[in-house]
Amino acid sequence: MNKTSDVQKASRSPIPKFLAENSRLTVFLILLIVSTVLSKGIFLSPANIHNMLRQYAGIGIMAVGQTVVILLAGVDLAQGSMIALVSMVVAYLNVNGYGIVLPLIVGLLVGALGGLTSGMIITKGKVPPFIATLAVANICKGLATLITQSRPIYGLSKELLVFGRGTIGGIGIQVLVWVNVALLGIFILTRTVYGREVYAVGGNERTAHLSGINVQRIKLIGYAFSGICAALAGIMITSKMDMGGPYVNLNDNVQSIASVVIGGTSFAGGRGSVTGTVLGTLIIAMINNLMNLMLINPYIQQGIIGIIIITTVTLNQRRTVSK
Amino acid sequence: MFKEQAQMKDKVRFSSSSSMLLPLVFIIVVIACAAVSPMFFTAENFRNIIVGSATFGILACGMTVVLVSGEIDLSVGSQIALTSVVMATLAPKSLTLAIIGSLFVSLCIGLINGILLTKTKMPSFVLTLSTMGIVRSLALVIANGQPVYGVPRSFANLSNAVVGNVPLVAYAMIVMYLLTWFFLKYTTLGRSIYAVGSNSESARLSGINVNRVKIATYAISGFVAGLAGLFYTSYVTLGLPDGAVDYETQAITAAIIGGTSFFGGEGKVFNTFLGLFIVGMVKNILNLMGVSPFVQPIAIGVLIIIAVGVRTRKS
Repeated sequence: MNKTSDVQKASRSPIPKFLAENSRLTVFLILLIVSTVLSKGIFLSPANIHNMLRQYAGIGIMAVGQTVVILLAGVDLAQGSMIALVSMVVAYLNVNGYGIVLPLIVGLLVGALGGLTSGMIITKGKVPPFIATLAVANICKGLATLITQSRPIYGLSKELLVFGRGTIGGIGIQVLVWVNVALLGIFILTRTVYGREVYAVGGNERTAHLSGINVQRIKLIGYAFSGICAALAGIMITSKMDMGGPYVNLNDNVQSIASVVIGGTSFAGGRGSVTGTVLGTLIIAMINNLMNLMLINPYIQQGIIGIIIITTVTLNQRRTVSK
Repeated sequence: MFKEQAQMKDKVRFSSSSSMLLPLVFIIVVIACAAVSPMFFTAENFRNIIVGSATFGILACGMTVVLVSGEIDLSVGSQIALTSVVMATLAPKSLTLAIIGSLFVSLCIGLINGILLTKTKMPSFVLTLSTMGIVRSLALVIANGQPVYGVPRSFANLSNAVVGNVPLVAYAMIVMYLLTWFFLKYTTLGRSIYAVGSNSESARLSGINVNRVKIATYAISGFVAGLAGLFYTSYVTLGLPDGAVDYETQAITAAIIGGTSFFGGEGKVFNTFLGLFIVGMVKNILNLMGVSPFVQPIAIGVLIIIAVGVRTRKS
C-alpha cells in the first residue's frame, strides 16, 4: 500500500519523480551535499577528489567486469584472488628481467584464462556460478602464494610504476584506465550485439537459447571479461603499491559486488547498467572518503556499506514492484 | 520455468546418484590417506583433524539448513567474531552470563537476517553480504579493533579437553549433527524447510507459512554460528573482532562437497559431515606428506569442481 502512495506522491512534480526513479543518483547527490557540508568544503577540493578516484580505480575496474557477470545472473567471487595472482605473476616476470610488455600481456592472459575457466565450469559442468568461482578463487589464491611461498615481491622496474603513480594532464593514469574501461563496458552493453545478448541471456536463458543465441559463448566471454578487468585492477594495484602482493583482500571482492548491487543491477540478471555501477563505486568511495575526512572510526565502514546496500536495493525493488 | 525444470532434473540426479557415492568416496579417501602416510592412522592425527575442523563443522550444520531452504548465509563468519568479542567482554563478570549473552546476540542477528530477508525480498546473497559487513563492524566497534582478553582459562581449556582419549569437541559435534539430522528429518519445521527450498510457491499453497520458515531457518543459522563462536573463542582463547574471516565459505564448501544442492530442497546433514572430513583429511594428508600449505586451496578448489561437476553432470 505504502509503496504505491510513495510513488504517487513523488509523481506530482517532475524533479522528485526523477529522483525517485533514479534512487542511486539521489543517494549520490545526497552524499555529495552531506560530504561537502560536513567536511566544510574539503571534500570538493580537486586534490581530495583526485585522491579518492585513484584509491577506488581498482575497485571501479573490477566492478565493470562484475556488472557483466551479474547481468548474466551469475557472480564472480574469484576477482579478489585473481588480483593477487596477477600481481604476483606480473611482479615475478618484471623482477626476473622480462621487461614490462611481456608481464602485462601475461597478466591479462592469466585474468582471461581464469575467467574462461570459471565460465567453462559453469557452462560445461553445469556448476552454479557461486560454487564455480569459489573453486577458481581457491585455485588462484593457492597459485598466487605458491610463486614465492607467500612472500611479497619488491623491486619492480620504474616503468611499471607508471600505471599507479603517473599522471596525464594532471589526472592519474589508473583513473583514466577506469574511465576507459567503464566507457568500454557501456559501449559493449549498449551498442553491440554481444551486449544485447547479455541482457537477453540474463533476462531469460531459455528464451535467449530458443531465439538462437549461443548462451555458452555469451557466458564464457562474460566471465573472461570479468577476469580481464580483475587482472587490470591487479596491475594498477601492483603498480600503486610498488610490489607483488600474494595476499587476497576479501574486501576488494565484496566492494566490487557491492558497487554493482548499489548501482541497481539486479542479482536475478538481465537488468542494470555499467553507468549505475560507476555511481555505485563512487558512492562507496565517497562514504569511505567522508569517514576518513571526518576522522570517523574506520571500523564502521563495512557496516555503513552494508546499510547502504540494503537501503538502495530495497528502494530499487519497491520501485519495480510498484510499477 | 526453464530454471525450475533444470532444477527438478538436477534433484532427480542428486537423489539417485549421491546416496552411496559419497560414503564410497569418503572410504576411498581414508584408505588412500592411510596408504600414503603411516602417520595418518594415529589417534593423535585424528584428534588434530577433528579439532581443526570443529568450528567449520559446527557452522556447516547451520549452513546445510540454510542451503536446504534455498538461501545462503554469508554473515556467519562475522557472527563468530562478534560472538567471541561478546563472550570475551562479558566473561570476566560471569561466565554463564557471557555464554547466554553471546548465544542470545547471535540468535538475534539470525532473526534480524530472516526478518530483513522476508520483508525486503532481497536476494539472500546480497542481504547477508551486507549484514556480514554490519556484524563485522559491530564486533570491531565493541572491541575497538583490538583482541579482547578475559576468556577464563577454564573455558579456554575446553577446546582441547579430552574424554576417554577422544576430544570433547568430537562429542559436541556428533551431538550437533544428530540434533540437526533429527530436526531436518522428523520435525514439522524441518520438513517444511525442505518443502520451501524445493518449491516455495507450492509450499505456500499447501499451507506452510514460508516467511516464518525462512525466519526460523536464519535464527537457527545464527544460533549455530553462536555455538561455533563459543568453540572458536575457546580455541583461540581471545575475543577476535577480525577473526573467522571467510569461515562461511569453508562451511559452504563442506556442505556442497556433501552434495547439498545450491538451489535448495536437497541435502543431508550426514553428507555434510562426510564432506567436512573429506576436506579435513585432504588438507591433513597434504601436511603429512610435507606438501607446501599453499597447495591446499588449489586442492580444495579442484575437489569442489570435481564433486559438484560430477554430481550435476551424471545422468
